[in-house]
Amino acid sequence: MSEVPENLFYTKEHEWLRIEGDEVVVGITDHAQEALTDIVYIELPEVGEEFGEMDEFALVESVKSASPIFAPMGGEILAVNQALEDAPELINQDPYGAGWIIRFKRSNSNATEGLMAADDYRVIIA
Amino acid sequence: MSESLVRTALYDEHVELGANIVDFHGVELPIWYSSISTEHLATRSAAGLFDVSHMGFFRFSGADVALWFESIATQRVTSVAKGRCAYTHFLDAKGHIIDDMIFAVTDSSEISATGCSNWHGGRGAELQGEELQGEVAQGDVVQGEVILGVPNAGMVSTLLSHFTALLPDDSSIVIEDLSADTSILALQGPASPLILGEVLGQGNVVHPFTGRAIVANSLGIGGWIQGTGYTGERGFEIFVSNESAPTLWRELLKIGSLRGLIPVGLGARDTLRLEQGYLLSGQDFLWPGIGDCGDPLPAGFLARNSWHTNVPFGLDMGHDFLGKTALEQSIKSDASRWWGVRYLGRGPLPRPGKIVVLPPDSGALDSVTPEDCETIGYLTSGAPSPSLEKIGIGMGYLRGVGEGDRVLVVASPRKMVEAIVVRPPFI
Repeated sequence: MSEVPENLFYTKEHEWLRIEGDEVVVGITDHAQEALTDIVYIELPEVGEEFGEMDEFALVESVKSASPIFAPMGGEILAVNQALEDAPELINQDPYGAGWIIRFKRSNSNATEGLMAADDYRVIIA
Repeated sequence: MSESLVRTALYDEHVELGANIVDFHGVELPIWYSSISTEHLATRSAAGLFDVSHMGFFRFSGADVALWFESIATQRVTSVAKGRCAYTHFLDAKGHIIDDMIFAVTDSSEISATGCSNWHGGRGAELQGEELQGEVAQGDVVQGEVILGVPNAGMVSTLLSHFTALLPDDSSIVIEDLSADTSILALQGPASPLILGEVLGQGNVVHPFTGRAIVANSLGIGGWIQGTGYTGERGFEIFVSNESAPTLWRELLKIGSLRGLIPVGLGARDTLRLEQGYLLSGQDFLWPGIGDCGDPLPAGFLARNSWHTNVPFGLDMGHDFLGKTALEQSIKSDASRWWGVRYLGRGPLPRPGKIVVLPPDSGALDSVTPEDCETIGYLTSGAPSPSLEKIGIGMGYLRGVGEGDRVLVVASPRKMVEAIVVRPPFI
């Protein structure tokens, strides 16, 4: 059974979000990394890049396929997890910790539409 | 999963093993059990067991069947001795590849020895179109020379129609589609002869690219076995009745696990064949592009040797075959050739459909955009290579390049990755 921590928000694209005021940390869920397995490459955006909701802002590649990561809301990139460039398998090993992908500043601080709580996300991956 | 999907006789085994199941050409099959890399590396170092029952199984029989088969195949079929297997392409009149196939040459007494009652004269093909019905075996026991062929999943009905339309008018040749009655297990990897010997006895450990009826064994399983596969490893493809398949699957895994055998899904099957430069039905057959055939091919370009040469394997220009004239013309007129590319750095991976360009003569690669470069072709297959520390490898149709040339793969909208042109295999 995939791990779904309580304190996070989730999207139907299998991303998790940790909202800290205006800042948001995003990664892919345990369920997503299990489904992808063998993550071998990640393409990260540049710090300072601005993006809109549902823009493709990273690309996660497994042996089998390339999966775009869509921005859950508009914002501006504050930091990317550089460690993933040399060790993309961190996403497999620790999806909610060392495998975080992007930290961004959200453009609308109230934008939580379409996000799910842990219980709701558990239902869609059941 | 929709109700129209087909399950192989081993479906329950896959579920019990925790497989991730996908729809592959309408068949529910495992894409992986543990992970693609793990299964890939196990097959290279020890052994892997594959359910390839989605592939078809055809039997061709009748007088001069090899001569007829040769007239529609790129392979020199009449040079393939009884008991041997070979690889071939089938072309249409325009020289385009319809599909590829591994086939075995055998005879009716060997077919009887398979012990599978429905394999010798019991029933013919289950054809959809009424116009084909007249061509199908109606219960006659086959006599003389027989060719067994393994068409790709999703191509069974296309090929059956293609072959049937090309049959001689005198009904001297019969095609039977045994696909629905047959399960196919592929045991692949360096430990596979040892494992097969332990499970089915030494008598069934056939040499590479040879085939025969399965000889008596402690499991009491009959069928056909050949020393073939699509991984580049020593291995076997075992053709048994659907009823026998689960027993054989479980025994192979039980005994083989002591030698490192694990079940392997379609994901690793794809990366294993890619590392060898083997073509994937459909995906890689977009153009006649039968490789670098400007060079004269050696006489008797056949069977075993085919697997150790550059593509095109299975092409012999020394005989007449359907599509040959068009193929010769396209070799002269089309500069595109089949090549492999291997990444020289990290980046988004080469995938089917990615464009390949020539780097400009000068300027730093970092500042180059695809618009600055000449497009020379595209990839039809590509992935990270599990055997090569997951470096990107790909294959496709490129023009104006040769071995060792540097090219750029337009790997994502934001990044091009430098690669070197190589002749597969990659490992």
